[in-house]
Amino acid sequence: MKWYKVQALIYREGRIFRNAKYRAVLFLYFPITTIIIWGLFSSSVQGRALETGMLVLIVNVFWNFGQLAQSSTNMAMMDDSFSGSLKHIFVSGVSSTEYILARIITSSLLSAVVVVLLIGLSVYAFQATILLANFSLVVILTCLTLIASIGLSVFVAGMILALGKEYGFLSWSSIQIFVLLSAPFYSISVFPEIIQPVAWVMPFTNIFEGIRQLISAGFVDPTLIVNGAIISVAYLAVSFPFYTAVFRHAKKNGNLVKMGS
Amino acid sequence: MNIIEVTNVSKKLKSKGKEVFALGNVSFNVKKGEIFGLLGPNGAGKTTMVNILLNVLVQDKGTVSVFGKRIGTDTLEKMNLVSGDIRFQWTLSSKQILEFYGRIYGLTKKEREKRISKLSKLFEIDHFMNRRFSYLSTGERMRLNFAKAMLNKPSLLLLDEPTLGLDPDIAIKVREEIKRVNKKFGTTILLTSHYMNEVEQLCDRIAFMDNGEIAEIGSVRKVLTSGGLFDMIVKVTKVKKPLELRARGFKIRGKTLRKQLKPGESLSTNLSFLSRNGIQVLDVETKRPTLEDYFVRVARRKA
Ligand SMILES: Nc1ncnc2c1ncn2[C@@H]1O[C@H](COP(=O)(O)OP(=O)(O)OP(=O)(O)O)[C@@H](O)[C@H]1O
Ligand SMILES: [Mg+2]
Repeated sequence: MKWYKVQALIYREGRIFRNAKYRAVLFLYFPITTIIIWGLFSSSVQGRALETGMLVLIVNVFWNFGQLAQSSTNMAMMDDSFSGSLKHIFVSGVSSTEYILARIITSSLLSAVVVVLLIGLSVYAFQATILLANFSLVVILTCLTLIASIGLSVFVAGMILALGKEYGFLSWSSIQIFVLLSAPFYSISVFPEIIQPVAWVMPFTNIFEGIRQLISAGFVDPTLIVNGAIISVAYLAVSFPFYTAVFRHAKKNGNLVKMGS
Repeated sequence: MNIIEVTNVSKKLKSKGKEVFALGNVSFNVKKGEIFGLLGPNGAGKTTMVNILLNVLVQDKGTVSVFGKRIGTDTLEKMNLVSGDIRFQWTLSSKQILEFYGRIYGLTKKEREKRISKLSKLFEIDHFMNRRFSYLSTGERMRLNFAKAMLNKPSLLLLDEPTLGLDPDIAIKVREEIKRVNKKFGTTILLTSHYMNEVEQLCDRIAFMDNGEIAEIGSVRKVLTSGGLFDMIVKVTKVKKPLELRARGFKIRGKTLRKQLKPGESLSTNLSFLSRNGIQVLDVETKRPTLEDYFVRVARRKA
């Protein structure tokens, strides 16, 4: 791996971000409007259901953050694919790892800025002071969400390469099923019994459970954090070899060429 | 020394469940400093071969080496590509694109500045340096592509239909540039093309591909004369004994007779045959076949 190539790709991402207005929409418009919607909901139910309001607001902060960190990595790749510039990047001696790493770094940095904005908005506009009071816990949950999302993005990148360009929609759609199964607003016990074991290994399950506990009980069970960390890291550890294997295979079956031009 | 060595390369590709035989047992070498042409009709496998050399596609069988090494990111760093269907990220300006590739090739800030300004003059892209890629015309895109391709001073340049869609005057310039780069820097060049005159003008040697296989390889002259055929065209005052003429292989069109000569068949025996039959000859012309004729012949054989 050559670091200057990763830096070059990050430079390029930065320029694209500056030049392409839709990227700003992706990063700012959707997350911020979502948080305002649920923040207003939370304020309006304060008398009747304070806890529910907070739960929906804070889960949405993490959901949006996770979604952004994952989808922006994958959508940037699809952007290169649809603009036909992907082939030229790999032809210049960029490796599959350098490519995805640059994507992950830019997405993580930009999403981190956004999550700070979203937390600030929740705290100062919608009284989610619980986030400030438990700041170190919030930082830990944020990191776990980021790691899980990166793992997912690498996995989705592999899936798109394996299935072909026409499955590019996975870049923005796949997160939904993972969030559903990660039980965001409800406890895992609402799922049928056969689904519950699956739900336990979903990337955000422990994180969402932790948020719910924090809001209702004021603390987070350390085992949730440990399990969350194990699962997040496991996603990363599995998805990287999967991505590199698929990439190698895509050179054999012609999918990389099709993706690239 | 061989810069490219391709030995018995085969590649099958699947498209909508159907297997396409993209390359079959292809072998060729490209020598240092040479301009080598890959020629052939649509779907012959030219781009597939180029993709393999660029390590975005891997062959099923056979071996490929570049600079005497297995292909990989380190060989790619000393190569570059210009392609007729070139597209860069549409929101980036020409300058940002060159800047990006300069960084990819590990140039320092100083080197980038120097080389980008030099190349932008050379390829006349100065006036659209700040324009977005999506606004550029085909010719401008191609010039930008050439500038990008020279950033890393490649030892090997792959040109996949480099004059596709260009105005004739720009195509001429591009060809001059290819020749110049080859002469000045000794850059080895592999070129694919549909344009026969381009290949005849530029290439030291060519391989004619058809249906994923190499039909003929060698100097342009050798490929042309591989069938050994050339035409004699005779204008006469009056056509007599058409049956005998046809039997001898002449085609008659008005007062013009045309015949394809086989290897070794001489002009004079045919002319004396005409005078023996009392046909008065006004004018004789012979036509060496062009690559175009060769191309058409192969295409016809296919159909
Ligand atoms: N990624 C791919 N998947 C499936 N089939 C492919 C793929 N790439 C090329 N082919 C097929 O392989 C054959 C060779 O294609 P190739 O692009 O190499 O031809 P070419 O000589 O470059 O043609 P052209 O002159 O039209 O550019 C064609 O039949 C093409 O449809
Ligand atoms: Mg082609």
